Parts: sequence; structure tokens; C-alpha cells
Amino acid sequence: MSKSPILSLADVGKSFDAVAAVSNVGFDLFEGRIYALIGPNGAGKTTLLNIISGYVGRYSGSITLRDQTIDNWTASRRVLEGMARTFQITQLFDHMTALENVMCGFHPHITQSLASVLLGLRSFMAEERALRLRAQNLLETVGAGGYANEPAGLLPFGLRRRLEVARALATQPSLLLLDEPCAGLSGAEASELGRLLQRLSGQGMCVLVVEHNMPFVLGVAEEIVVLDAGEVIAKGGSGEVRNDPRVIEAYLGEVEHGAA
Amino acid sequence: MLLQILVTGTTLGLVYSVVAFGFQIVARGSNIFNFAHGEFVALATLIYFSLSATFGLAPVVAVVLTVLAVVLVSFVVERLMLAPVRVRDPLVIAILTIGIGTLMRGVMILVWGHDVLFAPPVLAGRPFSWAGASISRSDVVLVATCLVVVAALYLVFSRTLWGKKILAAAINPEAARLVGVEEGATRVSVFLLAGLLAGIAGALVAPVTFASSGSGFNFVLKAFAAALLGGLDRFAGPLVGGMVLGLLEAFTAGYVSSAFREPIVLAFVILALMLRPSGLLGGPTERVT
Amino acid sequence: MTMRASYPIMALFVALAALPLVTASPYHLTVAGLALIFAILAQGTNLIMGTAGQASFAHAAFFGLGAYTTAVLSAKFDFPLWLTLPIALCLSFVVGSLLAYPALRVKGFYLALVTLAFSEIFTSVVGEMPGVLGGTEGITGIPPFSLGGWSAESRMSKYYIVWVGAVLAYVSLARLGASHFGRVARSLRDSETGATAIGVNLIAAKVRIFAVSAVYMGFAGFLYAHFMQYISPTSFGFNVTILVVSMVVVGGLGDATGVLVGALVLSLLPQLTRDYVGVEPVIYGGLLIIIILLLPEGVVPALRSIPRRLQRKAAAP
Repeated sequence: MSKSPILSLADVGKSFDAVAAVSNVGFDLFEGRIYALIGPNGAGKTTLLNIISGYVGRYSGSITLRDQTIDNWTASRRVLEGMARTFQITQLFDHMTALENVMCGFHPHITQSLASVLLGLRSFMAEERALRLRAQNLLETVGAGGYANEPAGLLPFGLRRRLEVARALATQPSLLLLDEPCAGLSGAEASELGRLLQRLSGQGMCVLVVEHNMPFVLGVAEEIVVLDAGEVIAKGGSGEVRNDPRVIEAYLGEVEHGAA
Repeated sequence: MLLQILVTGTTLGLVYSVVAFGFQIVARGSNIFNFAHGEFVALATLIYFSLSATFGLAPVVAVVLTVLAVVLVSFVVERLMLAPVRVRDPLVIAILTIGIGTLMRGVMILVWGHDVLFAPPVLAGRPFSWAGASISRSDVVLVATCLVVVAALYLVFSRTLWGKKILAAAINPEAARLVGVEEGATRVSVFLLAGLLAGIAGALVAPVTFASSGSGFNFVLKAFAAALLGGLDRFAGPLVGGMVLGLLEAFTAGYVSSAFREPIVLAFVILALMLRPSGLLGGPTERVT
Repeated sequence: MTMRASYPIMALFVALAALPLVTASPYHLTVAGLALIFAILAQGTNLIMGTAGQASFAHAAFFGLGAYTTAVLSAKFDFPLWLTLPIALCLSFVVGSLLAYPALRVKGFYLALVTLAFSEIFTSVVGEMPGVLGGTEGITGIPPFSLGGWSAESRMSKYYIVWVGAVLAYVSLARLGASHFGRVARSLRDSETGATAIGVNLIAAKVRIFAVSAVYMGFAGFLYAHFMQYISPTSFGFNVTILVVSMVVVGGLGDATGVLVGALVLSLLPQLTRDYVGVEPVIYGGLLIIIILLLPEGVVPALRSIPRRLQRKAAAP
């Protein structure tokens, strides 16, 4: 059963003012699998995520999404083509309720034209009701169902992160990129998130998680990519990666310098 | 004719540059687009008029006192109306500065009326004549002072610690805060400096053109345009933008149409910014995704 | 934001409809009609400035564009209303798009400068060009609203047409606000990164919202031309820009209902200060400053939350 990867990176690199944040990065991601991107602080994980999702301007190398080269695609276009993400610092719409935040996520598939909004009152209200229902369901999927009418800006940290996941899911992605989704979550909540990701990958979604939470990573990820100083130093299942001497060294260095 | 236009354009251009520097410094140092900036210039022209024409003070004395007065007003405005602001939204703050400018214009109208007022020259004496173009002594003083001011600004921002701190805060506010650059103190400093620049520009331009309570909007529009035209992120931006604007205005008035010089110059600015969004001097622009 | 009927606003509109039955004074009807026109202009401005949070100061110019288009076409070229209205609205949409697109390609306050410059250009051009545009004198003899054989000759009929326009504007903006379009607009104000993350093309969205708001501003201009039957450049200058900004701030940036109320109230100001012309800028400037310093969320929203705050105080031990 040979499938082509949904996302493919080839020799991707990015420098900021002569400092190479990321270099020679290459790997493939396949549908229906959960991947973790780990590495010590400053390894370039978020930068790499930003490159993949289109928030970094130019970079060297090439990225293909389902066999299409996406290097000059804007970030919003990548979302429309099925790539959704969350952020380390949540980028929510604080003045809107949690429900409205999720409803915004339906943007890539909204077909409401201005004319239909202004003229067809009954169909407009029916459509809005349907959107509200779907958004409520998504909120419940991430365990935030009771907070639908709370302004997003007032929600505690953990809920905000889960809300952002719900909003990302609303875009109906085939590739989901999560930047430290477990930060601020309790052990139980993280497990719940892990189960959600497994359900999603079971339905065919490809998930890439940047995480520091090792138990979570080891429990959920089928394949791990390890980044250090901007380069991929190991790739594989949790067993191989754990015992890889280079990985141990990279993290040991971090421990020695008092980081993490 | 050409020479006269060049003279007028250069004089105008330098005035615009100095005013634009004031606008740019506040914009970069405190991330505030101060739409009241032009009113400070207008205020300076009016104060200079009153001091020299109404009270008969010697021009040099009038200039110095005008500058001090405008700096003081700048300080009061910053302390009373900007420091207590509780919102961070730049749009709301910009609207606040529009309110401040409107208030200032209202006060100026109440005190000086709507009239266009003519102030005595800074240096008495016949204008210089040079190859058919006439340059008044006040023009010369204006040009000389503006050049000195621009040079001084360059030194301040490239050599002094204070200047470098302001630039650093402009480029990376979070990092600047970590290094101890405090937001409120920075804001006071840049406002005082902007007041100084507005005061000088206004006091010296009054005897060359006129003093009027309605000139504020025009000054701030030109300052904003010059700052963006030259490139907001480049130090020399206001200088380049201001000179281009001044020369363009003079050329348009002389060769095309004096009545339509404003719309033509503004249309040119819009066009130029569309073609080179980061300004004539280029530089990094944040492209929207 | 759901489409719950706003009973206070409905009552307000009913009261305004009853106005001609209460007073026969043409002056009152003119003031009220102008108030409704400014309410439309302010709500249109609120869409781009408040809801979407963009620094745009071209509302006076688009108001003027709508008014001048209507005036020139109907007074000088005898175009019928069913032509001038669509033309005025389309022109506003097109000019709005052309103006906004290049300005929004770069982040920051470029839109502010471009809209300010456009305002300046507009007033200079219509002020300096006599002939078809009327120059400083303006355009007189604009025909009243007329459709078919009927025309709105009396002040009362003109007032009711403006009233209908105001209701249409309010209802349509409320619907837009409660739709996906409105959510996208609000997302732009809260987090552009977040908006990008849901697939919104920031430039396209902002241009679209700007163009739609320009249509409302042009619509207000259309009504103004036929209502007053006389326009001049001074009606579209920077004073109007500031007045409308004040209305949006008083009403609460982004709060369409608040802006409606704020606009109606503030429209009365020019009437009160008519005899003290120099005082106007002081009042508007002072008003803006005080509101932003003390009630930055808007006067109307602050008043609206008083019952809630009193309830909380009563509930607390």
C-alpha cells in the first residue's frame, strides 16, 4: 500500500540575519498518522512550524502539499487547502464568544453571499442555526461545550488553547499542526486531547504536534522527528528515538545548561 | 523661474522635513500616530506672530520663546491627555490625537480667529538676489536652521545613548522594555522633541509664509505623507520625503496649476506609495499574508 | 451577535416615524432628517472603523461622492432616481475598492494616510472646479426624490423617505453584522493572525469591508442631496470627518446600535452650536478626548451597562 505523503519537506532552511534557524530539514508526513516534532529549546521547532504554515516569508528548499509545491502560497491559502494550525500564544478573537470563535473557523467552506444574507431572512437564520449547532459540537469535542457563550478573552489559559483547537478543526483540515497544545493543560486534559487526536487520525487526518510534554508525545505519536539547532537529528518511532545517542546528547546539553 | 521654484521648493521641503521628523519620531518611539502634530506647528506660527507683531519682541527672542511655549504645551498635552489613556488600540489613540488636534484648533480659533496673519521677518533687510531668483533673509535663516536641526537629529540618534534607546524601542518594543527602556519616559521625551521641532518649524515659517489657525491639518497631512513617502523605518525618510514633497509642490504650483497643487501632490504621494510601499528609500516592509 | 430584535431601537424608529405628526415645524423635520442621514453615514463608518478596526478617514469624501454624483446626474443631466441611486452606490463601491486595495497591501497606517489624502483631494477638486461641479458655490436646484409620476415635494414626504432609508440601512447592517461577514470583520480587529489562521485573505477582506462601508456612506450622500436639494463643498470637509468619528466613538467602536443612538444625539450638536461657530472644534475635540479617556468603550455601551452594574451592586452583600 504505497501512498504519497500529504506533506513533504525537502531541504528546507531559513536564516535570520546570518543565523540559521533551520537547515536541511526534510521529512514526509502521511495521512492518518500522528507525528511529534520535539527538540530542546531554541531548536527551531516553532520556526519550522511557521515555515510550513506560511508565516515566514521566504525560505530555501521546498514543501509540497499533496504533490503541489506550496512555497509561494500565502498562509491563508494554505488554510483554504486544508492545513490548519494552533499557536503557542493563542490567537483568538477575544471580543467574540467561544462559539463565535469556532463559527469563524468555518470560513473556508462558507458559501454565504452578501445577497443571501440581506435578502433571504429565513434561509439566513436557518443557516446560522446550523452553523451554531456544528460549532457547539466542536466545542464539546474539545471539552469546552459549557463555555459557548463566554467571551474568549475571559477564558482561562487551558480553555483558550482547547478553543483554538476547536476553531482549527472547524476549518476541516486534512493536516493539523499544533504548537504546544498541552501547555496549561492538566494531565487528564492532555490525555483527553491525545484521545481526540487519535480519533481524528483514525478518520484520516494527519496531525503534527510540537510538544515538550514527553509522556503525551510518547503516548500519542506514531513517529517522532527530533530537531536540534535547526537540523533533524533523528526520525522514527518512540523506541528508536529515545535511545538515539544524538537525541540524548541534545537533551542532556539542555539539562546541563539548566534549561527546560 | 526654475531657480525661484527650486528655492521655494527647497525651503518648503526643509520645513516639511523638520515637521515630518517630529511626526516620525513619535510614531517610531511610542507607536503613536499623532494627528495633532500639525496643530503644534500652527500654534507656533500664531505664537510667533503675537510675540513679534503684537508685542513687538525682537524676532530672535520671539522665536526662542515660541519654541519654549510649544514644548511646554507638548508636555502638558502628553501628561494630561496621553499618559492617562487606558486603551492600547492604536486606532483609538489615533482618534484621541485627532480629538486633541481639534481641541487645539478650536482654542486657536477662539484666540486668534480665522484670519491669515503676517508676521515680521526674522532678519530685516532686502532679500538676496541670485540669478533672477529672490531669496528673503527669513528664507535663509529658515533653510540654515532646518539643516542644522536635521544634522543635530542625526547626531542625537546615531551617537547618543538616548537616541539609540529610542530607535531600539521602535524596532523591538519588548526587548527594549527588558533592557530598561521605560514606555512612559520614552513617550514624554519623544513628545518634547516633537514639540521642539514643531516649534522651530512654525516659528520660522510664519515670517516666510503666514500664521493661521487653520494650517494645522495641512501640516500634519504633509508630515504624515512625507514620513511614509521617505520610509517610516529609515532615519532619513522624513528628509527625503519632505524634500520630494516640497519640490513637487513648488514645481506643480509653478508649471502646472497653483489651485490644484494640493490634490496633484497628494495624488502623486498615493501613487508613489502604491508602487513602492516601503517608501522611496526602500527597506523592510511587513507584507500582509 | 444574534438577530434578536432590539425593542428599544424599534421603539426609537417608531417614535421618529411619528415625529411629523407631533410637529409641523419644517426646521424640526430638517434637523431630524439630517440626524437620520448622519446616522447612516456613522453606521457605515462604524463598519470599517469600529467593527473591522481599520483607521479610515474617508467617510466625508464618500458622503460627498454620493451626494455630488446624485446632484450632478439629477440636477444637471436629468437622470431619474432609479438610475442615480444605483450609479451612486456602484461608484462608491468601485472607488472604495480602488482606493483601499493598494493602501492595504502594506500593514500599518497607510490606509489612514490614503483616506485622509483622498478626503483632501475630493474637497479641493469639487471646490475648485466650477461648471458642472459647481465650484465653491455648490449645486443648487437638485430635484426632490421622485419615482414614476410622484415626487416628494413636501418636507414630510422627504423626511419619510429618509426614514425608510435609515431603517433599511440599520436592518441591513445588523444582518451583515450577525452573519459570517460580520464575524470576519470583527476577527480583523481582534487578531489578524487568527483571521489568517481561518483562511481569511486579509487584504481581500479589508477591501471588501471598506467597499461595503463606502456604499453606505454614498447612500447617505444620495439621501442628503435629494433631501436638502442643495450641496456645497463645505458640507463634506474635515469638520464632517471629525463629527462622524465622534459619533462612532460615542456610540462605541463596533457597536452598530450604539452608533445609531450616538449619531442621532450628536447630530443635534451643530444645531446647538450654530450661533457660536468658533466653539464647535473645542466641543468636538474635548468630547473625543474625554470619552476616550473616561469611557473608551463608548458612552452608549457604558450607559447600557448601568442597569447590569446596579444589579450587581444590589446583589452583592
